Amino acid sequence: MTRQEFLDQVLSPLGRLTAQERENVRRELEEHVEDRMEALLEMGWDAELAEERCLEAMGDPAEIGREMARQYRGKGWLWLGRAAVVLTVVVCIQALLGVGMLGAAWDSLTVRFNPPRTISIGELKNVEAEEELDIRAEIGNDILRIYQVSVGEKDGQRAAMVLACAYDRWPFGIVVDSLFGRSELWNERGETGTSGGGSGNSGAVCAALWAPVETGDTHVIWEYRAIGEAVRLEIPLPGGEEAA
Amino acid sequence: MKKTKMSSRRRRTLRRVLIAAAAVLLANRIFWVGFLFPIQAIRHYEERQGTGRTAVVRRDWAPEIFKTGLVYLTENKNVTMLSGARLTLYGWMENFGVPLDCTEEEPIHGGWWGMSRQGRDPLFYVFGRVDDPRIDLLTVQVWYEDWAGFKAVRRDIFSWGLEREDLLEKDGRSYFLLKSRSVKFGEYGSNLRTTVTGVDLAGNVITKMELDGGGFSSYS
Repeated sequence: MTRQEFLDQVLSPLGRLTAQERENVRRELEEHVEDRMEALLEMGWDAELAEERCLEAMGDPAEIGREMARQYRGKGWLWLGRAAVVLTVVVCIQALLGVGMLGAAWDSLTVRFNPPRTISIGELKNVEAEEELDIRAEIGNDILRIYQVSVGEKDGQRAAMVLACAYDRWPFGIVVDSLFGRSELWNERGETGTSGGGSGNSGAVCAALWAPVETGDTHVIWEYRAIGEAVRLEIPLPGGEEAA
Repeated sequence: MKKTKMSSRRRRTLRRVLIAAAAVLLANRIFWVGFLFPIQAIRHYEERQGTGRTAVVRRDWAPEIFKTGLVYLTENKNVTMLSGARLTLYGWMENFGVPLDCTEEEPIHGGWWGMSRQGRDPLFYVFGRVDDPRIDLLTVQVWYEDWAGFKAVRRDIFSWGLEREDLLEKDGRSYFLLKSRSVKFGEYGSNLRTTVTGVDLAGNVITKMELDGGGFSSYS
């Protein structure tokens, strides 16, 4: 029996296989025969004899064919596999279309380690004191991080400016749109300033809030109120403890 | 015969399914696209609004604005939210919406949502939660102030009456969702008003309130 005849006999009960699957089976069998032949040829066998011996050693081609057919049962698997390929292609195209969202994903990561220091800080003049902070609060799925407080002059009066950022608990997650719109900064007398400005996207938002302060004030209060949530954080002013 | 290491149909399929799942997960979590189910788009909107996880009270197909448009009335203890999703090239995407804060004690929490798209009649929804168990009949009126000179005249656009058994129930709470195509809100601007009245079995008015929670979404 020639190799071709052997392969044809193996493949004959595999009518339900796709063209690619038939080709895979043929290639596997051929590689198998080649491996065995190589060993025999190295031992000095004649090529024709070596092939014949290998095919005999592989067994009954009809039985191999039936065994193969059992491995390739189930049209459902075939269709599921095809659906998975289609889904992968569609999702990859969608991801390419949505590649602009990478900026948000990047910000969601970087703001955790290196939040921006320049949000509207230009509005605070004659900065007399500045302090790095790391005050964090959970707001739903998000983390509010207050990372800098400065005291200086704003619109002709002494003011404290607080820098904060917010990001989802999970990297690449989405932060609440209006987190800073729902936040206010108060001084000890219950006076507040307007939002100093901010920036961000769906991955992270950063903002500066300010409140008027007077000499001797020790802290300002960050208040967030939204649906079912209220957060109140006391933020110490630089040099506030000495003043107290 | 030596067992071949050939990959079977099932093994290959499982590998493909795993690759597809990884691709979907990456697209969902990093690019926020490729949502396979509309509820994922609603979850995305929840995240953006900070409402926390809500449960679906009712889902409506709203083909008037988008052929694949779906509108979801969802809720939790603190929120009643009307939001939408539609199928796009990017998969299911959110269609915005209106979350209602229901944390304050009120007999009724209500809001409205107007959706419009160029060349199509707008859609107008009134929705909310009825917290007062005495309320047996709910009347919703949509009207606008027609200013004739210095005098405003009330012009009724639409009104609904809902009995207690018409309300939607979820987690022991009662909800309402009304839809109209008669409210051409673009014509009324800020003069549009929505009033809700709750009446008990004896006909006593429990509450009458003008709904101020609402929003318009305009799509291209």
